[in-house]
Amino acid sequence: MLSLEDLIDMAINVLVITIKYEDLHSKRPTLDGYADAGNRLIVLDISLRDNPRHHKCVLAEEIGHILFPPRPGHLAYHMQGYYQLDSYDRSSIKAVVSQDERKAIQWATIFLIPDIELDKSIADGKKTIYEFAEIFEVEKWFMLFRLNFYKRQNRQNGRKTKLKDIVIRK
Amino acid sequence: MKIFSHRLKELRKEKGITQEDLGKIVSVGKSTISQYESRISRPDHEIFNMIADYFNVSTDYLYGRTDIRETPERKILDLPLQENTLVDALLRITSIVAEYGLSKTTMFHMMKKAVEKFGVPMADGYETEPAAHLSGPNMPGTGAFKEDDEN
Repeated sequence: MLSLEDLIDMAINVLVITIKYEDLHSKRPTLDGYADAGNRLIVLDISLRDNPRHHKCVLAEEIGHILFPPRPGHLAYHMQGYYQLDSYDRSSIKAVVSQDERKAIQWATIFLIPDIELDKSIADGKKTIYEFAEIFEVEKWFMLFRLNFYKRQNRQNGRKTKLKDIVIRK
Repeated sequence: MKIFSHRLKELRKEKGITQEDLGKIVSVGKSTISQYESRISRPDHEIFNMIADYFNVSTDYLYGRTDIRETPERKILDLPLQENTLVDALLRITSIVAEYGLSKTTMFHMMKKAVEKFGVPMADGYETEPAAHLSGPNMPGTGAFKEDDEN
């Protein structure tokens, strides 16, 4: 399993990505980071350094954005004027952003939690989502994405999987 | 000991390097390498591993416990990449690393090989924009995964 240090090492030394830490929360409290694929740059909020698990998940997702360069629309989506646009523009921008986000997060979750490890963990028995997250050292939201992608992958392969058969509800 | 000395000399000659060169690589003197090759002394564990790594052979081969030179990792490293893109190759690499319990060095080596082959993808036919990661609900693409999906 890749640790945060391995992920940082990989980003810097293998993919030649520059990682910077800035106080992004002072600009926008919910902004944890952004990826600029054109300049191969990832900027993360400094608070992530105090939360290694969140740091790992956000960094993996941002690396996903570098590997799937985001299409135009992301800036407009996050600007204040977004809601002044007409509904047609808004929906097309949202569709582009959603697709790009999904590509990045899908890659990130499968990269950090390979099928083979997830299969082993599922075969070990039903667990709560927190136990799964603990095993793979990721956050709950990240683990949920992974399990949902797992469900989709199985469905594409003709196997129907329900989350309630894998995860214990608490 | 006899086999080690013989194989060390053989590998060094195959590589076309002198005892002095090998000494520099594993941080010992020329005379120490000469002693290894003449069965006067034997290397400690660390140097032994360094020699095996340098010649890309398994330590078992150096000890004479096997005649197979290559380490399992080396065999995997030499396999050609069958994926068509870097993103797929990286996913495959982490999967192989998890399956065979390979080292971090091997994983990075494989990843570098993939990057060399495919390069990091660039925006094709459009101008890319920075993508933000927001915590909280204001993130499209996540709508399909509500808390209900846990059930």
